[in-house]
Amino acid sequence: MALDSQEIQVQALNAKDVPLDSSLVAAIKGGDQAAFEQLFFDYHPALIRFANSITRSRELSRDTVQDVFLKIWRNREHWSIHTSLKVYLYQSVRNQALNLLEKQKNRYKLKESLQVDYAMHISAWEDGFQKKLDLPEDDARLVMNIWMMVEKMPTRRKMVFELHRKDGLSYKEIAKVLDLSVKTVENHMGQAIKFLRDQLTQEKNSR
Amino acid sequence: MQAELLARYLSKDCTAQEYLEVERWLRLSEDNVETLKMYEKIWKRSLDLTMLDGITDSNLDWSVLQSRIEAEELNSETTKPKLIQTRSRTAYDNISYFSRIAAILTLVLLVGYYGSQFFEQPENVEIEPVLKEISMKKGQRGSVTLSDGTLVSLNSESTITLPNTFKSDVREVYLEGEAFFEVARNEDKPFLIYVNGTVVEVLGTSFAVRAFPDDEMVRTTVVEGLVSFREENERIEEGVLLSAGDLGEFNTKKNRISKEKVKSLAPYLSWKEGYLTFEKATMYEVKKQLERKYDIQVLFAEKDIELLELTAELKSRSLRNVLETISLSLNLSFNLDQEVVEFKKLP
Repeated sequence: MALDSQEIQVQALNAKDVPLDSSLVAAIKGGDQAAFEQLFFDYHPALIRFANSITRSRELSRDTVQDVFLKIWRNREHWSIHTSLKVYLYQSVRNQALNLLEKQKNRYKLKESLQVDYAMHISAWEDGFQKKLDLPEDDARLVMNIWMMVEKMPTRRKMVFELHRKDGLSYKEIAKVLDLSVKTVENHMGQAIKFLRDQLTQEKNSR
Repeated sequence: MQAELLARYLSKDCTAQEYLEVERWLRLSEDNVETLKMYEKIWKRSLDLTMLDGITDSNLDWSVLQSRIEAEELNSETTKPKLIQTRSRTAYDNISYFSRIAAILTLVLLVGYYGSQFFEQPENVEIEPVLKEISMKKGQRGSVTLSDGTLVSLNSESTITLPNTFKSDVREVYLEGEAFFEVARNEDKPFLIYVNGTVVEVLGTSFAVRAFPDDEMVRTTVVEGLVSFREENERIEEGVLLSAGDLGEFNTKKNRISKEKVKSLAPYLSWKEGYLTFEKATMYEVKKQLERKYDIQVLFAEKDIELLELTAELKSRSLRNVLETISLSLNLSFNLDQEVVEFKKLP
């Protein structure tokens, strides 16, 4: 696939200057709006998904992610990151999502939204998602099954698994974002794939 | 076999030792091979999960965010004296114009991506790659973000060459000098760095490579994840596997590759943060690094100064302070004149 044409930004610093930060962060601190826009579009979809896994509400997730970006821009001059940019963003989204949830505490809504999401995916399957995935039927069904099994995992485990598989975070990064030890993350990942394998083997045998 | 270890193995987050442990376990029985195959299938397919997520309208949220920012800035302008320069209308128009472009581009990419799976592709259309070269001069450092999200920090006097577009199955770059890589995860598209007769293949995440033209050694140090380091044209099994804390060295004269655990990675990474760290480095080595970093010329009044060994962390931003620290710890004096510094032994 020849779509990922290189777009390269180079930022050169003189040795006597400040230490090299991520160039994007430095630009935003300096008030560069194009850089801020780039940051937004680079991370928005992934952060929305992550917020969704915590809040279980599309609206709350949109608010969460917006608040995070608004705060970054508002305090850009004093913005400092002690970890990687990615970890910082996921951490902020988690904190803000928990804040907003605390304010709302609407359990009923939470449940309802869960069911809607689930139904949506079933119907997605009926709508011929298999074709869109462009996989042999068995593989497409496997993707679908994995997705539904993931939904059945305990929340923490599901988050860990999704952050790794969907967002490409490393174990270390996941540990920082979710405030867990790396050992715990490793444990969740192990349990997650074991759970998937057991469930899927069972399904295969019963068919 | 523990699921935890297998998960680490699948995500290439295991140590070299664990990697070999899994390979050994695989050789034990056919069943084990089957089990791993099942895991690998689940692992690979779970990547397709993203496709099932609904499409997020980033563009809509961006405009909402813009108006919130606008509103805030208007507010602060009425209450406070004008601290922030107001944007001109046209500048703002440009921004929304760009965001529209970004949205269209995203769409084109999505359509292109999904679309490419519907339309039959003519076979073998690998286009001759156009190579791009990015260089840092003496006294400069810089960083490059590649299209796949990989971040490359380049040290002074270092060059990275990469194709305009990565091939479909592999990401290949060429390096001369020193660089630190934080490679974006993509298990289906390995990341390869060709450097002075060797190849560094990334199985995990971040690590540094050093091979200046006048270096006898090609050095790779790993911060996180798993890296395969070997001679060009060799297979993974023939090289060494490096995990966090490992230093791999290839001797270009003897064509020999070796690995060891190092006490501290600082000497190989501190350039990235803007300072130098030396651990029993000869002044010959120190001279090369000073010249590179500060774009100066270093002279020794007595030839055997270059054999002295320095252990130091030179965090000061001022060149003069750095030179003073070196002189003090080695009992030398120095004279700095414009771009030339000369070290002399104290009587």
